[in-house]
Amino acid sequence: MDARETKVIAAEALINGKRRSLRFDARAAAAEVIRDQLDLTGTKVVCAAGVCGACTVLIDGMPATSCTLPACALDGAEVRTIEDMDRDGLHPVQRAFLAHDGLQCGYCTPGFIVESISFFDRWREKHGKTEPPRDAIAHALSGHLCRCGAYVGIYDAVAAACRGDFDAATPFDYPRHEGPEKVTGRARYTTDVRYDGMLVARYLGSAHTHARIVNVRFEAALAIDGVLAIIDVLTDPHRVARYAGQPIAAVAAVDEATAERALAAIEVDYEPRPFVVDPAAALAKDAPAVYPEPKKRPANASEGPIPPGKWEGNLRTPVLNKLLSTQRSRAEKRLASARAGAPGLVFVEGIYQTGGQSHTALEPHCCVALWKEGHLTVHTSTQSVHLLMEELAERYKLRHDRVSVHAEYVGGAFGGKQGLQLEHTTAVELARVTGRPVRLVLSRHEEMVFGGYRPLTHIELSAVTNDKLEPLGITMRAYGTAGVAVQSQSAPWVRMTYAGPKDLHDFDVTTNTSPGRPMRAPGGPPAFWALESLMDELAHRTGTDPIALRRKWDDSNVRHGLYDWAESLPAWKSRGPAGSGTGRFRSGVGLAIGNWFSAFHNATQIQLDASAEGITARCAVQDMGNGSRSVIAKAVAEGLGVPFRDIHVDIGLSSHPPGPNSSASRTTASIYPTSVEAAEMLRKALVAAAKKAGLKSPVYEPGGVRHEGGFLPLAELLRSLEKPITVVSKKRGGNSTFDLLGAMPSGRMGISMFPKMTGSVAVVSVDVDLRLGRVHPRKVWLGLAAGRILNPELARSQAYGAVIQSLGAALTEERHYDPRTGHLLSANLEDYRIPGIGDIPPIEVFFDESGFEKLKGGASGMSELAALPTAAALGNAVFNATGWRPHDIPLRPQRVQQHTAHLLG
Amino acid sequence: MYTRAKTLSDVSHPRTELRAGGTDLQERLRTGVASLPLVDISRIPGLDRVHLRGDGADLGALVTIREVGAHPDLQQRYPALTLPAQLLATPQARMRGTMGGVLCQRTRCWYYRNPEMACPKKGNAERCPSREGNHHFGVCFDFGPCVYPHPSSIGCALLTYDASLSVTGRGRITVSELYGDGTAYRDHTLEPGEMITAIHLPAPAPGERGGYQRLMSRALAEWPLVEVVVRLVVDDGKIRLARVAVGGVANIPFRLTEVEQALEGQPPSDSHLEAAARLATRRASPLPQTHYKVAMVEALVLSTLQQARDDGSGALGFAM
Repeated sequence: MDARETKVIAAEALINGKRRSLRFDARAAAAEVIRDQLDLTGTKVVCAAGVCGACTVLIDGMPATSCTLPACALDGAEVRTIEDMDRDGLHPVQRAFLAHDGLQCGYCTPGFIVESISFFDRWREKHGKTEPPRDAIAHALSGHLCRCGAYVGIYDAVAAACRGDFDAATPFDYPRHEGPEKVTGRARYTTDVRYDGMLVARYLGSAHTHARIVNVRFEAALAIDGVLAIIDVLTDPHRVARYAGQPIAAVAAVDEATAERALAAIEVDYEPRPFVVDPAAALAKDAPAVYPEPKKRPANASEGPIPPGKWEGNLRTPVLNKLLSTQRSRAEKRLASARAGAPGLVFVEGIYQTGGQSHTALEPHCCVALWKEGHLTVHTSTQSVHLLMEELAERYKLRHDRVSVHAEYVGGAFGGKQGLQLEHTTAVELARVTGRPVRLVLSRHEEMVFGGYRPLTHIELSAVTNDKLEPLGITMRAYGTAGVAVQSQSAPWVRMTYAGPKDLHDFDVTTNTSPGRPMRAPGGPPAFWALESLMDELAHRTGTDPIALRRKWDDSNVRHGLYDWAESLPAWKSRGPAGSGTGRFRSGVGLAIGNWFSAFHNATQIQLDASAEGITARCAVQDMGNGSRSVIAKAVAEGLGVPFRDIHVDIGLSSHPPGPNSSASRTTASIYPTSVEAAEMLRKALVAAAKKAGLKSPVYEPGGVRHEGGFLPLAELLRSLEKPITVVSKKRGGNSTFDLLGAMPSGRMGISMFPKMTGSVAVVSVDVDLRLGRVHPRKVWLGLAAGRILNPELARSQAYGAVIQSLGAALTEERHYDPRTGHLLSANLEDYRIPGIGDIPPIEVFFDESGFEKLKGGASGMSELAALPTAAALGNAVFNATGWRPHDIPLRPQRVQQHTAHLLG
Repeated sequence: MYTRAKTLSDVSHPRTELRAGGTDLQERLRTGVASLPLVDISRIPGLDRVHLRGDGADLGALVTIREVGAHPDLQQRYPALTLPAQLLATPQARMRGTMGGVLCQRTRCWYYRNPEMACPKKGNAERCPSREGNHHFGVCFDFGPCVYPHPSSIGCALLTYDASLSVTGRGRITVSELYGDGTAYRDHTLEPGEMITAIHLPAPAPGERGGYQRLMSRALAEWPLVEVVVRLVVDDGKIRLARVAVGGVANIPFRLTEVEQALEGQPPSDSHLEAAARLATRRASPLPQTHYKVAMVEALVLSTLQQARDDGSGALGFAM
């Protein structure tokens, strides 16, 4: 009896009110049937193991994760999916999610909505129209994970819905333009794209952690019925796989099961080599070399080009180091004399370490590709629609207008989905050889293994001051580990933050682990973890107020308003001396700062099309939850004096005018001023059209055109247009790259710098349970100085998300490997612990909007800026609570208990 | 192969995997870790009832975890059972997961679950790969060859009530018999074709109190580093009955009888609870990477004893 033999089950179920006949394999999960057979793709599959709740549906009225629900359980059941939740118009819970912005990328949203509606019904039945306590909401939604960190809005939304704020179907305001598509499950992501005859692609990963691939044989696999193509995808020029699971080959087959069988039938001859996965071990004298070949071609963990470097074993020293320091010998001398005990100098030093943080966007890396008459169409989850089109055109030698990249909805990215990636070339090449559409979606296991992570760091840092608290010197040696990749830089951020002489060095330590990728403020959070922990220590050692010390050292005035704000916080003012508490629970408050550049993309253009159908804004930009659509819609709507939702926004398509990568925090700074400009152009064009139509002395006024005969509302004017009007904003001109260190890429990536840094300050209050080693954040305050805030609700959502991801890095998230085989063990959302709703304290965000008046549009990005200071502020709060200075994150319970349990006596 | 069992007699196939809620099995089916033919037991009639007797209670194997956790009479009589039933896993898992299934879960070990890795519990390795490898979340009471903690919180809870189980073909067995002593590479001692049909709880004592805590890095919905179930009866200023079971630290759920003995007959004062908690780790034998759990066991036992003494209720205010 072959256990793998399929047995097809016929079943009948009431799905969203309709009786449906279903057929599926007895082993199948309900999610597969719901998504693939019923095409109800609002139900998302993320972890596929019952952890994240994205696939939650109602079965016989109660929520279940459809990934672990046997399809057989559907037989005779009544099932309601997200698509049915607005059966009678938007449900109060859906309206509340919209109004309180309880969503960002939207990929987890259907699961949250279904569960919240079920909770809403039960709460109302038991407690009537009352507001549930935070704890009740946290428990009810504890089976759901959101990587963007939309939890603050979710708490507010569920509370508001339960207490009855949204019972009436009256009009209400909401800030996220595409919100309705996301709360109803109608937003179609790349993973939801279906074509007739579409094939499924899967990767074969290296079984060894380090091995030369001597030979690969596809014949047996190709002989399997339903297998259409297999290609070699190993990119290493030396034919070496350098980490476990590294893609070697890719299969295209008619379905998952067939692809799976084909993978098992591919024969690979490996010549295993010794390997190293631990960064400390990688620096040992006799450590196996990750790149033993003289010609090394490491992967790139940064957003810029790889400068040359010197290699000693696995240690790489980039030549860039020369540019990092300033008054280097002075810093070294001061450090030496302070170390020798010179009078009047105060010296602090420490080693600070951060673990790797996985991006684990809920929509995995994925691509659907098809060729038709020489035209390449690619649907993908990307944060760079325009750049990807250019790169695909170059790679496949096509004109730009022969490549279409679609990314209408992107389920999170966080830096890990930039430009041309392996999933693109794999799907595109398989589509070419098979002549059919091909879909490649990484499994969560693959996403965890090679979907990217923020590099690990080991940072040695010291600082010197005197009795006048002058910034006399900072030294830093930062060792970053991005596995087989290089260029994890932390030192630049230290150079740009505080005044005084500096001796700074960045190094790469390579290991046989998957390549790290740029992640939200690449290099920043580890740099500020180290720097701001050290500054807190310096304040403590000198007996100085931490804000007073920073005011002395800060190289910029950007944070002045934020310092004033932080000083005014009652929690900050009333904090006690470090370690002064008693008892099992100790409270503390800490502070840290962040510093980030202000960038924009100078080639971005916004197109506005005006016709009888209305006004549509177009741009090859994407929205991964960052709010691109809303920024464009708001700028255009304000420019024309019409409601926000009257503007259609058509983005995520490469045939539109160029848009920025959503990286380096430059999306808003690129699309806002160009949208304003386009609206201005359209106003002029509309006035001209009105004149042509015979109106006398027309002038544009909010909402329409004033003329001698009266006022013509915009909608009427549009209906009367002879032909549609199209305007396109001008390019910002030149590549005015203000390149801070010579390190930042320009050219195609198109990062232009505004010559002023943005600033942030975080204050965190914590309770530390000494007995159990648990750190409970009680409240986080985040102050941001990044110019004008265009859309306060969405800016706050971005800031909350950055804080929440920082809490994950600071408290729970940790990648684990098997030391004997080099395989990643924490390759799922159960063993890799991202924050849940119960982990999120109240978060308060403060904006200081001054200081960026000279930046076109006045608004800088802030997604990365917001991700910098929270971890160190939390660490400093733990120090304030316990007197123990944390050096390494995450502060998982064992680490905290180990260092603080003795305080209980 | 797949069979939908209509009665218990359909269950007795050798070499099959039983499926009720599917909460554990579906993931293993997807990754290929589980590959035996399936017997679907979810529609066998008569197994989904809670029956309260004057001298105890019987829970059918297909009763859901949520139903147990939310049952007002069970909350009052068996608080040390209803507390974990309201806090384990996720709300969705408690909704579909069954009482029989939760006792027979397979290990959550990241070697066992990872299709790339070999493990004796999958039959493709001789020795536990975690023992010589990464056992960061492993046991600190080293009872046998497998070093990954047993996942069943409900198993711990049932131990505190001396519950018994009806098993097809075997009659009544105790919960300890279900799990054995941890010296074999198994997550339970049921043979293929054997199935739990009911859980039997003896009569509660007057004044039953319960405590349950999970030490996790997150607030909710995480497999615990350590979990402790406490059942306490305090009468006339003295602890008349104490049961303490611990999970997350051994390859079977087990009772800390040394702590129980130290508590019984003593007043429930902080100093007595502390003294008893200090005995919790007498049998501990941590692995190189699990020393941290030893201190946690003592701390969590004390903390849970205090909860049982100070609150003791089997209902959580926020559970829906």
